[in-house]
Amino acid sequence: MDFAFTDDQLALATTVRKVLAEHCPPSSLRASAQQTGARLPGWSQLAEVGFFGLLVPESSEGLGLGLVDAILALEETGRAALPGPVVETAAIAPFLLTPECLARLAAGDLRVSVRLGGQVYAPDADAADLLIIEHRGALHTISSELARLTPQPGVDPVRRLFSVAVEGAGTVPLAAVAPPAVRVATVAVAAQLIGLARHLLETSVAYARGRTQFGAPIGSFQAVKHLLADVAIAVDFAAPLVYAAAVALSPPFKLLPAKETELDRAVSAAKAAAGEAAAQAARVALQVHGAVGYTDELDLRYWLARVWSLDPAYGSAALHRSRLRTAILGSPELRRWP
Amino acid sequence: MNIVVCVKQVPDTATERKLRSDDKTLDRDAVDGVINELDEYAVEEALRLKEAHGGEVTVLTMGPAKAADTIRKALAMGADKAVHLVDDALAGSDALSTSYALAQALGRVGFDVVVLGSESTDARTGVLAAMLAERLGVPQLSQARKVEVNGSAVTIERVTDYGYDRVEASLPAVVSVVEKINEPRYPSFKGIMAAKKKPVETLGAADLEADAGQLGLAGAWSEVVDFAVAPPRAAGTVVKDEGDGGAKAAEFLASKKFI
Repeated sequence: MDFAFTDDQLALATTVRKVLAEHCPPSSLRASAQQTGARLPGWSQLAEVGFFGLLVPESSEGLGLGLVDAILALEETGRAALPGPVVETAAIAPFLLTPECLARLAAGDLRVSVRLGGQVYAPDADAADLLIIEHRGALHTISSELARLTPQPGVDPVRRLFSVAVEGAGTVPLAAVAPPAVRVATVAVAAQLIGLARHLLETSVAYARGRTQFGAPIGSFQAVKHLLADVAIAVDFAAPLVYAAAVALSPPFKLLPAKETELDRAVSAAKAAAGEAAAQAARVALQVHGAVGYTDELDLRYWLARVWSLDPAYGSAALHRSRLRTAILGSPELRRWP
Repeated sequence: MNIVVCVKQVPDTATERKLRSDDKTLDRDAVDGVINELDEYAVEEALRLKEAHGGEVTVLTMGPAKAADTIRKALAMGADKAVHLVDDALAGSDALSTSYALAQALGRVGFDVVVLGSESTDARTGVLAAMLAERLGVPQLSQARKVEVNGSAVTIERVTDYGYDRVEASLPAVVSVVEKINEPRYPSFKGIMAAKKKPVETLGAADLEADAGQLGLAGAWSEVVDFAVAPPRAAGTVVKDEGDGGAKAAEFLASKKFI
């Protein structure tokens, strides 16, 4: 069995990477954070190449692909720290919205923020046209004009969090159910975390090569070298779990049995490993950069903040680890020693 | 309109490129191949001509089997079909024999306009468009920064040192473009997925009905006799200014005949 990505999957990722390298440079993240420039740099160009139609069915003018086809492209949005409700619009909405909305979504004309699962706030709701809110176990869509958004404190100045209150009866109930969408969202966020971690590692390695101390680049010192090597190992071990989860969530479900519990295990393993790897990458990046690492002037902060913002999204590493433990060992109460 | 765009797979300019020691040709196996950058502008211009005037865009390339990646990139951008000249007998062709092979293929494929990038990043001879036009017996419009087709006439703005020339010719013609001409599009995801299903015709040397003596390394008019690695830069001369710095600098420039 061939587990390698296909040429097409790699080409999709390369395209996203090139588009974002040109249209979502670090300076645009700063502009988005300080509200001096476009809130969503790179989005119109991504829409043009068809990024937002990846998971939309062909009947709604999307590409009808599976998560595994999109996972590397999603990873690239993490690598670029692309602002906006990327996962919500590209990976969650295709599973929940009605066909007429999906055509607009595929064309890139609809931005969607989502609050479901255990989420308390809707991320990037200020940049969304439509909100999907889970309320008492049922899903509702709300036009963002009818929702009252209250900004909430968050670590990332670009990925902003909002609490949502609905004024009057503006919600439309949705027939879809949340669990499949939450699984996809969790794996998509895990892929973004892998992308963020890769960028942090590359940036830190480049810095360690250039920054000299005691007459030598700091990267030549073992204490620094080992920190970076540990990050590389963590990322290389986490990425395959994310890809495996993407395969498990993509039709026709050949590789893993599509049993709900098996799917949840794959998803939790992916998110726990990706979150831990990204958090480690962020911590090491900060340490390797030294005092300059946490200054406002260095672009590094946008990647650090995104990791800290996404690590707890759709379940922290600790939550997913405890789910894994329960899935493998059964209820912790029954397994307590002796 | 039948538009043919010639593309070439070249070694990635970001990597170190080497010549092979046995036949002194470029070592294409050791490095990643990418589409020649200027050819992306040629593909874009061909697609724009098609969008404005209708017709079909055919990609033509000559190169080893792995040049199929470059074909797929051009097809993903939106070209309709492709012709791939691939044969060991063609390996090592110089500009003259390449133009011969491509002209034979173009005679077979048929064309109203042939679009090329004005040079490749590996050999950088920049002569292929001229040779191709000569062999095909059609007008050559080179270094175009703007192309317009009007009925059976094609008009371009040719970049010059002093500005540009407006050059007009009748179709069919060969046009070579510079990077000022447009902004190449990204292949769309739909284009990427569709590229695999587009027809790619593979031609060997025998299909060209060509004189085999004019093809490949043996048929090349030019030959690499020897090559050497560029010598490292010698350290410069430092002149310390002790009141006579200007005079010493002038002396140095005079000794090199700059002044």
